Amino acid sequence: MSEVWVTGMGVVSAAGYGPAAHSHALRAAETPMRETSFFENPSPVTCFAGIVPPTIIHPRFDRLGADRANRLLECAVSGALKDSGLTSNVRADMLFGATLGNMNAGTRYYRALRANERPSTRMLTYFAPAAPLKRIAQKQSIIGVHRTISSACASSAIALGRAFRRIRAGACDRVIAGGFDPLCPFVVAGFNSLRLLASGVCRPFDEQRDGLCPGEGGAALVLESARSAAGRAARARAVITGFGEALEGYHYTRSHPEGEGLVRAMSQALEQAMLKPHDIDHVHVHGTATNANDQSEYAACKRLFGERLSAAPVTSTKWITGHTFGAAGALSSCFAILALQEGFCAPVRTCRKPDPAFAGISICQKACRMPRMRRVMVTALGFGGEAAALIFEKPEAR
Amino acid sequence: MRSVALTRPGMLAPGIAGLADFQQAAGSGAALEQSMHEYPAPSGISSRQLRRLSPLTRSAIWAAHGALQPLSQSGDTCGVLAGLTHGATGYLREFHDYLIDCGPENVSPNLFSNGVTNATLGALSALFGLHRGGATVVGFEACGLDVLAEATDSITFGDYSACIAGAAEEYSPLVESVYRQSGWCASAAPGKLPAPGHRAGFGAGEGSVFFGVTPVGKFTNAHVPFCLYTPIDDLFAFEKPVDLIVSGAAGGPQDRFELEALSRILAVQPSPPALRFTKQIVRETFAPGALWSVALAWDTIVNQVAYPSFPIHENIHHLCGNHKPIVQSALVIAGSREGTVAGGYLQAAEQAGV
Repeated sequence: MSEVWVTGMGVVSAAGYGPAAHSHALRAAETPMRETSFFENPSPVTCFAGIVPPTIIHPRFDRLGADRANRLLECAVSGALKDSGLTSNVRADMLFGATLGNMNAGTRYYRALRANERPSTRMLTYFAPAAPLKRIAQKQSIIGVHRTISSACASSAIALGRAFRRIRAGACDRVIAGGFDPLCPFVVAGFNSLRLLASGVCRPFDEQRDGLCPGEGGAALVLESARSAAGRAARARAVITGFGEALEGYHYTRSHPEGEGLVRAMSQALEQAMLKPHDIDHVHVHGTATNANDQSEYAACKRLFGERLSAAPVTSTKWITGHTFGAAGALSSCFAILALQEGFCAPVRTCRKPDPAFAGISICQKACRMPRMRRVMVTALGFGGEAAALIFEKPEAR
Repeated sequence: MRSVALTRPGMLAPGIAGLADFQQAAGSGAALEQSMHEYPAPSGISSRQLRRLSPLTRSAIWAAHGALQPLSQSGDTCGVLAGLTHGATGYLREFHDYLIDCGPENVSPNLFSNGVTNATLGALSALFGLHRGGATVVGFEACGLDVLAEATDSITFGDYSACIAGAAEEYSPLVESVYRQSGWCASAAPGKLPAPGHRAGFGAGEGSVFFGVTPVGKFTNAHVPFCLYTPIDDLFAFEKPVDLIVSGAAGGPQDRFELEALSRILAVQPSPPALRFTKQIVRETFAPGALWSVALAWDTIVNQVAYPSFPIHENIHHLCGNHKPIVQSALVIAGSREGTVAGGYLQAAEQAGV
């Protein structure tokens, strides 16, 4: 079995572009999310949303509909390659997660149809969620197997997990993996129809939480076998040691209240990493701030950690970036790796009074130094009952 | 080389509700309808349970049920991998229509939750109690082979003890109209040639195909028919002799890539293999498209069914051989509109010494 190193990180979200901007965001007192209106009068939907600043993705990219998705993915991939000391024209498999990927293009396509315009094949191809990855792989001349996973909000966690397994089993030496999703009105309307949008900035695990804030982003990690990375003297930001996944089969949009799928995913990840629950120092949960999600994650953590529940502080960064859907698991992974590298547990600043129903769990409300942090677990949940968990370790913890 | 066992496929398309129907449809040569008017519910699942699901998901449920039959696998150890291209286009269009006509406050949450790409996987997991894990793989015309490659990884890496893997797509008049405008399908009766220059391809169809995927040794001593499957990572380096090649070429944007690859593969074969196509039977179904080819190859190897030949493009006709009395190996290839060509190698269990 090969050890799997994270040798590069590229990340873009409402918090900015690059690891430094995201490291800064973990310590910031305020959210970069802004109140945004979607749709026109008479029935606009207004909510706080995590939008990538126009200095990073200029609004002109929206003109072609699909290009915002492409740009997010390109930012993430090129950032990860640079951080890893690689350039384009590289041999690497690519495995990325996206939910509806190009639904901005889809919306343009449907609007064109309604207006009796002739939609082009280009529009149809853009609309398919697999399109951005194929395009970026060609543009950057990245040679290998390129696949897009679309497992709802767990997409990128599953993409990272499957990439990890591929290297671990020796099937390849390098995979660029992660996720991306642009913010689009279609998705906002969808979550609005499910009554899942927060009235203000989302408040994961807070007593007053009332839903999620939509966001957008892209995150990519360069995963390499230790042999390949050491061979080119690449440094390891972290080592991935475990991945677990499960399907709950409980409800199409709601996760199991007892965390049925997630606890199985977390247990598998621990087993694969040959660790016990008490070896985990910190948990970076999905933490969307919906009632069902937070209840499910609390239950799973309680079942897994038992009496040691409070020993592993729990955080969520959705209050910084919003819920970036297909990118969420990869974005959480980037934040978790930064926390691991910097020995710093990021606070959930919007969780002012933790829900008393979540007794025993230790939600990070204030930033705290954790210089001895060695291992962090990242979780993700998605529509369709998807649950995934990843374990990242400090290289020196091995 | 990572290999797995593929068991009998489950499938659904207009006029096709299983492998026997597929054989018959291929033999009759009659043009199938483009879309299904109703989607059957497999035994044990009520039509009420299917009521709110998209046509795409209902189609996948039938095919997945068929694929699960030979596996007799516990849901706790069985994974599921599903592929799709355009997704639940009917629900997505309806959602957009509501959004524009009635405003965001009045759209149905059902159209959203059943329109997202992972809804099909969620339904398969919930209805069949498959809990081990899974993923939805999205891609273009070669997506079906991508799904089988991911399934092969999951089995050979020891992540799942078995899984079902397949793809589904529903008929979309929108997709059909774009294809017609682009000249990628014949304006009148379906053509018969995979002919990129002739602009006489097949219109959009719909359907789903799922296979049971297990480790190679699982059914060695059982009466479960299977053949070995190996994903081909680099098709241009493939030089194994095969008895049969099955292609999905037939006039779509992927043809120029697929026919070029096909010519190169045929040219290095020591003796000319038989060549078969599937679009003549089921039209262009996108994600499951390549899986019809795998099903044809599977049936030829396992049941020694001789599928009829259709006229073959003149560029490759001279490289093709006749159908052999005993077919023990087959290559499936599938081109994708963005330029990649994927492949899968099927082999009789006896020939592989299993």
